[in-house]
Amino acid sequence: MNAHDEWSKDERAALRALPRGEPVTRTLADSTVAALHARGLLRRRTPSRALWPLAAAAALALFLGGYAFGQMRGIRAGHELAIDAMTAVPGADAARLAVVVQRTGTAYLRALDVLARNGSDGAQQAQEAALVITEAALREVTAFAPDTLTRARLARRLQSATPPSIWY
Amino acid sequence: MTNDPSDDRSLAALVLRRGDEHAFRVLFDRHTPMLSLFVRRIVGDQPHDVDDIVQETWIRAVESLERFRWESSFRSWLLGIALNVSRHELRRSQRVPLHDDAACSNGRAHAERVDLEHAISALPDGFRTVLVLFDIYGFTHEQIGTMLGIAPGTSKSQLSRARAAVRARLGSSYMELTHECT
Repeated sequence: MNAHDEWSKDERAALRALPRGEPVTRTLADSTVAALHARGLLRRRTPSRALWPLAAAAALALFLGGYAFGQMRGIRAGHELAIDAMTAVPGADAARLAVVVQRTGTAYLRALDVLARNGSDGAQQAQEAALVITEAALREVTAFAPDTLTRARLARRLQSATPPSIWY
Repeated sequence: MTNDPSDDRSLAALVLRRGDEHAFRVLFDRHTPMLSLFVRRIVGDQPHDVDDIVQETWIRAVESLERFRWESSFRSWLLGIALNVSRHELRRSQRVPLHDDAACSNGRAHAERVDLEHAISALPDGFRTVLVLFDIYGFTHEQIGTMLGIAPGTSKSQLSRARAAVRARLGSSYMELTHECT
């Protein structure tokens, strides 16, 4: 190469100005993911068996948060129902227990919604309860899996004060 | 090594160990816009399905993820795979490579001003590949030599002629190129 071959200042600027990327369709992403699934290189997004204990722990934290809040308000029926549900599954494996705990969590969220709609005082209390729940869940997950994406996501959600959406 | 769970290496580890779809989608969304345009530039103005090449690139990347040593960036590694897939596709389509002199004749025949992107896309395969890798994506001649299986000196000479051909198509150095080609 010689000096003639080098780009001029304007030519270099034109090269730098060329785009470095282009829009990609969602279809391409989905078809690529499907192709990788078909080859066994990716797994479905449903929680794997290995994640069930984690899900159970987080759901349990959700329940405990509700329990603490219930205790604070003198309400016991919710947690008693949950314990009944847990013990009513003799010999259940972790996966089945996790389902029970998650259902309890769902029931708790519904209760939270009812509380939030109960006037301005209810909305305030619901916010406090939600904070207790989320922090409790984060503590549980941190204890079980301190260096995981799940923990990081939960922490981010708590930080951004958005309600957790990992359940259902 | 960083502990950022969203960096390429951490996400790739999740894909490799768990087949984590979410981690893959993050990688895909991060790199595919660049990858897609790179492929489009490599295959030039030939009617290849860029999406097919991009998809095949990702499949090969995930298949060979275990063997990637992280001695280069994930992006460079992906571009290398995309380059191989693109070249394979060009060969498979039995496109007859243009002789080097064709660049000169193209320069004469189409001296009208066209934009830079089109000028590059119309280059002969070998010229275009070297120019795209060197001038747009910043690979060195040594890296290009390794990627294409050619000597660094060959990469330099192809780049030189590629630039001349682009100039000719852009019209700025038409006379110089004409002189060199005769």
